[in-house]
Amino acid sequence: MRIVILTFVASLLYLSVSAQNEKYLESMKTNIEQYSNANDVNTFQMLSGKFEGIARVESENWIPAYYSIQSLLEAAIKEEDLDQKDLILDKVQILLDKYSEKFPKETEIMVLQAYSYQIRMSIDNMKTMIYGPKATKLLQNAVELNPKNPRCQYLLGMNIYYTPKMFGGGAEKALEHLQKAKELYESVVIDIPFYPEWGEEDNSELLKSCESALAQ
Amino acid sequence: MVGLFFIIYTIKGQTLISGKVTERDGSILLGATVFLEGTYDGASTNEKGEYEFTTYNKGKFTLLFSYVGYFEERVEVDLNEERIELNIKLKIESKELNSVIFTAGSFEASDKKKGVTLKPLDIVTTPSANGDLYGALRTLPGVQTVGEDGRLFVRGGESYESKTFIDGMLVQKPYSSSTPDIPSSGRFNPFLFNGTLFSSGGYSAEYGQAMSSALILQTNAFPEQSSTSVSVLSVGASLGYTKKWDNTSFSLNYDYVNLHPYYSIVKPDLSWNKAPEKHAGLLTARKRVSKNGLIKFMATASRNLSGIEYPDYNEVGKTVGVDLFNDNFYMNTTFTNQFKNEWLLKAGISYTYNIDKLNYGTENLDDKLNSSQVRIVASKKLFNGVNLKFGGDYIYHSFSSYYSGVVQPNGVELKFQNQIPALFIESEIQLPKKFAARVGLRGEYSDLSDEFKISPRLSLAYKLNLSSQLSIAYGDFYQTAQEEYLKYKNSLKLEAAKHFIVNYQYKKADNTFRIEAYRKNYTNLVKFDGANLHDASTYNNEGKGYATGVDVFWRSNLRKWNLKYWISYSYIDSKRNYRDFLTTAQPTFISNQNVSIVAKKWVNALQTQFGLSYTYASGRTYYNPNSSDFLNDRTGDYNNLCVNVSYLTQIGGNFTIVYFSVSNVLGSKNVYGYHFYNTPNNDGVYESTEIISNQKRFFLLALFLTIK
Repeated sequence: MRIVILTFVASLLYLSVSAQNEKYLESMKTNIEQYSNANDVNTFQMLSGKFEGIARVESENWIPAYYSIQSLLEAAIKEEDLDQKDLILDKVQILLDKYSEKFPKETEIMVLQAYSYQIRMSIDNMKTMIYGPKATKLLQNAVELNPKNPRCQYLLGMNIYYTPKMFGGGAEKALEHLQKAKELYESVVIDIPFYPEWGEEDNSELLKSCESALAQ
Repeated sequence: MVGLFFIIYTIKGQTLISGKVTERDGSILLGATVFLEGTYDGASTNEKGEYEFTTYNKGKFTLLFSYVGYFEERVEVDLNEERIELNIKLKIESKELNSVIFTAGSFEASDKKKGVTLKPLDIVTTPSANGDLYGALRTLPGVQTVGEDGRLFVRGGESYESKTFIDGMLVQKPYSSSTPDIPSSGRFNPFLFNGTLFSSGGYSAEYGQAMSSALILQTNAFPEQSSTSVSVLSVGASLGYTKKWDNTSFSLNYDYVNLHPYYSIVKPDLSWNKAPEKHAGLLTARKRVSKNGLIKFMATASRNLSGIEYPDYNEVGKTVGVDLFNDNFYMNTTFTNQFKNEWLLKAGISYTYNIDKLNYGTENLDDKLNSSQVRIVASKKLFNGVNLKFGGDYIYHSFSSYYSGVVQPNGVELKFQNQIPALFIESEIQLPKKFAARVGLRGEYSDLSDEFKISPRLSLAYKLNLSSQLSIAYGDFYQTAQEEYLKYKNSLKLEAAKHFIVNYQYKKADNTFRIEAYRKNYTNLVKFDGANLHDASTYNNEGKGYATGVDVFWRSNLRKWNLKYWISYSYIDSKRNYRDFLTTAQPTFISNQNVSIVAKKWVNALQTQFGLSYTYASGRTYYNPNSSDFLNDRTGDYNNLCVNVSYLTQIGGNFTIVYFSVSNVLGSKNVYGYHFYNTPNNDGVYESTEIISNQKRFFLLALFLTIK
């Protein structure tokens, strides 16, 4: 009897744990699908809220938090009004501050921080003096922490490519990072569900531009 | 544990939870998170702030409401009902998000939406500005081009009708002093400010003592980092040091300008006895005293010297030396604090000391000003889209003018003291559907003239669609008579202006279009007898005038070509009978048409920005004693093309800007007016001299270096 009860309780626990896990997989799947189909500011903002909810439940998992930040970044990119863009980025920064403190070694979150700096620079290119060096330093740090992250290499390469030569940038210095990124995109396989995978195509395109710039 | 029980329970056991998430004042929050704590059951709010989700959970749970930058709220719910409706108001945590409204296409009837904002870099890169704040403002609609005078003449108003406010405090002497017909420039470096709001009329009840316009400047909160800056210009040099700690910062700057070396290379058209020289020091400090409390302090001191040889209008061929000595001290301290109950308090105190000593051959005029202001303003978002702001300020103004010369060898002093207390109350209201209104009332009392005036200020805006709005505004504006007249007759009454404004504006992505039509009625303007300036009995307030016109503004950014540009056009019809005018006529500082084009292009490959500005102004009236009609003659048109180049580079790893500009590239001859001799020549004709620029073209070469 006791064994039956124990087995019963054990199976209950197993069911609840896997049910919990199933809920995670199901929720993330639904929301990520919506994320790939989304294309307006309001939808992205709503999605960010949804991912935040999941992040609250899965408090030790950085991935829902990651998507919460990324959805809001997409909202900022889609927003046309420059003042509103800046305001959304202020919100993104609050999330970035919270989650980079919680997950200090997570290089994918650093990539998003660097990306938000880039959007700030696109709003006002006079801000390049402030955000450019910040982004480069952060990404160099990230590359050291996780040399296998292709997105770190890609964004670092992009940053260097668009930094003028006299400030230590240019196509020549960018090339090695973009090439490394390409290698990593092709070779590295991560088994964690919903792990970010973006950037391969964009990296290849930028690599081509970089190579043709050097060929001249 | 929950999972298994879920299967046992009947399907009917689900609960629908819905509601709305808003801010304290009713503005909706889009993308807020609403979840049963610890579970996956939840939703996020849509563009109406509404959320809805179903849950099979039973019993007591905590519903968690959260939103980026706001305090979380937890509500205990008992999931035994079929429906639960819960509306929540969240309180803002992050002060940086204070002025945010998260739905697309919000709008206001505030000055911020109706005025034009310029960033420091916009100002410094405008070619005709030469780094002067007011120079950049002259390219905006509604601002007249008065080439021989560097101050703001807005919509038919004289320069004294436009006032400058720094952090809410009135600045008595924002311009440097200069000898007649030599343009003055602003005292303040544009980089001190992160907000430059120029309102060309109908501005808030918060500000007074300006009949035409208000330039509202907001100083920077905290610097980005500690740094040292060095600038070397063809006309002088600057040194600056900024130090930043966690909650404190201070900045020290010293500027020196001397045009003597420059004039020896590029000869001026006028004769200088002493090329303009200036010493100026600036100290700013910031201290964060609590999470939401900030103290700002600024003090500036400067000394200006110049001497120029003017024609003596008593005798053709003779000249007289005019020397100017000016000392100025300005101090401004403000304290801002946001309290827990969401009241925002701003308090400030400022002090100006200014002395101008003008020496005209045998004549001496010493003007001394001591002025102080105390101000306090409280504001709060009340409820459902209603903002309330009220406050008061008190100005103490002490002026003395000492004259000695041939007529009065022992000297005579004229002086007065005035006190101006004022109170105001104003509310911004978001009305249902698409209206927003701002209603304000200001009461001012002028001790010297013993007058109490109430000024209503009303503004109504209607949102046509996501990108455009229509607005109308009305306001009464009062101002004390100028010092130079008040000293003769202390009891001169306040001058007054009424504004009626209609405005349409369109703003989408990088494009802004504004068209504004206005009518200003002036009354109680000061009048006196020009031949008997010193006779107080001829002074009165019987002057009148009007100004009516249209301002058009278009601003855009062609990102594909890295080209930013704006175009301003103003048409104005304005006449007055004031001062020593014999009849109603168009004043000499007005051009009926003004056009300004400013374009800036960034070339990434060269790391350089190229700028161009072109200004056109139609001819102005001038007084001609040879003519029987008063102010009926016109000067020629004004044309000015300026170009500049800013090159960004590094020197020893430090960020550097190399700057070069040329004004009046085409070398157009611009005559602003004429001065006539006091007696006619042998043929009975009054001879004249032209009022022209000191130099046909002005070259500025500068190097700005920031060392971290």
